[in-house]
Amino acid sequence: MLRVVDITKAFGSRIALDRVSLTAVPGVTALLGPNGAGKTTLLRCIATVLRPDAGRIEVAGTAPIRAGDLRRIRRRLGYMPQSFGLYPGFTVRRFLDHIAVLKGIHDGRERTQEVTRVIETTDLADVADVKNRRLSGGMRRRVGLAQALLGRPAVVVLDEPTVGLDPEQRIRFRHLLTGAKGPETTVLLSTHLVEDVAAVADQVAVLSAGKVKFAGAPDSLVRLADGKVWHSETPPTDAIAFWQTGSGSYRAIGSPPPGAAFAEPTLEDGYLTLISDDAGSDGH
Amino acid sequence: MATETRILATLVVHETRRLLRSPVLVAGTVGSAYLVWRWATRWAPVWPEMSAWMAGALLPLAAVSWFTAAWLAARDRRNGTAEIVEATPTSGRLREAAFMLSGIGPLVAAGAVLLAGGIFVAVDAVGAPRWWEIVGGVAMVAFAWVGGFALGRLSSLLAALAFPVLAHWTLVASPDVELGAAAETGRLGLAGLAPWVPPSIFEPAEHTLLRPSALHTLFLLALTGTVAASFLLRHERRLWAVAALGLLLVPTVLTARRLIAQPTPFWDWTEATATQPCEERAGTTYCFYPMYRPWVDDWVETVETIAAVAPLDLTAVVQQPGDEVVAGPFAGRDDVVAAPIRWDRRGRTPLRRFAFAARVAASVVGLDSQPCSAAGQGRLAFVLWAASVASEDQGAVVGSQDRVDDLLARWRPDPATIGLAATLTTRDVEQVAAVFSTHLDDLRDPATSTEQVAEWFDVTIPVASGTENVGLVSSCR
Repeated sequence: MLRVVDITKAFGSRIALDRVSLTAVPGVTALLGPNGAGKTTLLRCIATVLRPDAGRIEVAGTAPIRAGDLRRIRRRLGYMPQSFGLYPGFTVRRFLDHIAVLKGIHDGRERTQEVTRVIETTDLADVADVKNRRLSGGMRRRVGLAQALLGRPAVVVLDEPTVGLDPEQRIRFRHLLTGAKGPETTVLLSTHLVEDVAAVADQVAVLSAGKVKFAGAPDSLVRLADGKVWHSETPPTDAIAFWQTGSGSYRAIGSPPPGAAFAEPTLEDGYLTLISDDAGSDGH
Repeated sequence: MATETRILATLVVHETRRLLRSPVLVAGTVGSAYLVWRWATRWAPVWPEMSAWMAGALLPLAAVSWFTAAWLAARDRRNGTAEIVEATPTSGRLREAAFMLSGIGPLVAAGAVLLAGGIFVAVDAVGAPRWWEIVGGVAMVAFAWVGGFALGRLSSLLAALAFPVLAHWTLVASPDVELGAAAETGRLGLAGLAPWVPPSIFEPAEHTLLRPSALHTLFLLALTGTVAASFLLRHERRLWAVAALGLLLVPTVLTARRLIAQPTPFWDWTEATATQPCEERAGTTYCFYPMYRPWVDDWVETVETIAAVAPLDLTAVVQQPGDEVVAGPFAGRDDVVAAPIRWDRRGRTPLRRFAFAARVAASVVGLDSQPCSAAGQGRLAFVLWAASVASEDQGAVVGSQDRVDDLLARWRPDPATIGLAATLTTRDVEQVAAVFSTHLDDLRDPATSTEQVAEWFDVTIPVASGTENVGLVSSCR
């Protein structure tokens, strides 16, 4: 379980996180938000690579209060940054072995088993002995996931894990993610791809301008757009957002005109409704 | 703590193993081993007293250690893995400690080179490498590792850029490390990299290793400038970094280049020869440069062997960086033999020992130490025979016209005389010595020919003396 309480982080005069509170339970919690919303900053704080200015983060029941807490937290945490590199001269197996040592798995046999487990879990067996420099982008993301899963962490933090992947790779990655996590594992992943959330998330939180706008089930986010999505044959004038569909009609979000033909809202509709509606900042 | 220790140990083992497999480090080790071999075979057994050489041979390993350490220290930053490793329970301090301790890899390589080199040198040469060259070599590699690591922590780019400069400067400005410069020309033995060559060869290395030289001071300034600039760049103080480079590095490099272009002040042979210590052994005085003291036993053995086969008029043996005594208190005396500054490795053909023995034997029969032709002179046959006996050459030298020509070109030995000497070496030494003793006065006479000496031994020489060598007219008096 992951608990974030009143986290604040500023870079100079710019406030990246403003008293952010969030709770993630075992399962997949997706963190949605526009670019610059503070998602990466929040995840880096949770991953302990960035120290918040104020607030408290509790990972699997431990908060970094006493000496040694940070190490305890990191033992129970897996982290995949948004952009990361791999040692190009290392094979996948050697790289994972190296990270496994850093994660405190010092017993050689145990480490070998664990590395083999994550390699199989992330479907990297075919390239386990290939050097990192020869991996494709999709494979590199899988190596990133594999290293995050080493040591069976209680909390896995994934920052934009599907960015840069083509649709097929994204679907495969989602499949790996849901298959890799244990029943007691809390996965917090940030994304700006609503499809990812719809596909894998049990919970969703929306962050905008450094504040949590919504936290709850994906269905609840969808419901925010109830009665606010409609079809129109002409370009709507007072919609929050609209676009022309393949049939030539317009799908619009906002306050519908009288007599509008309502459409079934999607997660994306709920998200757009939320972030464009300042009045809805408290979520549900 | 126990867990941390185990993690540290595991990391050190992993990193060290990788390092020892690193092609760069292997290349540096091979380069150092090559220098050990090259210098040992070229100069040995001068080596045991050329203390800085063993340390100097480790320069390639030290240079690659510097590079490898810098590369390793910047690995996470360079590859974008910093966030991944920072999120692990292993603290940055522990990771860095592991990296630092993995320097045991280069040190193991240095130890292997030193051990192999030490055995190689000690087996064939006069003595074993001195402790300070072992310590100096290892310390240099350790320093390179720590320095490279520190620079890599500051900036991966600058570490890479600074490497050639630092490697060059390590070679050029390491104080008082001899790299085999050629004294005659003042140019450098290693492609112009080491022009300083202070008189370390002729002073105890423990005195010279720590003595700062002008270039060494400049080296330290350049190093300081590079590190300072790296640090400032890392903290985005670009102007200050440029200033640091401008103030320290550029003038240093320019000054160094000017110094390098100047002739190297070499050791003053005349003064050193004049102040040699001497030892008296069985009526003969042996003078030597301080580091050559262990060689005196070899000279004594050679001289006493010659003295055993013929009365000896020798009173002084002077070591000299050539074949002639041209300086010092013994210069110009007839009873002086120049001792070599090089000697043969044990188990090899005793070329240098033969040449030295020949000079000693020549002094017995009054053969000039200056170049002259002794072709056809009977005393040259004695010189060759005595040298063969004293050097225990088993006929390998005296039986070879080419070798004798090379070694004793100053007396222009002719085939007949060489052939006679070779024949005599097959006979009983005491009998031959007895015959020579009975004809000692004739033997010292330049007019006594090789044919006459052959008659003393009832030997028929196949070629008339002097006839095979065009223009070889006897001129030695």
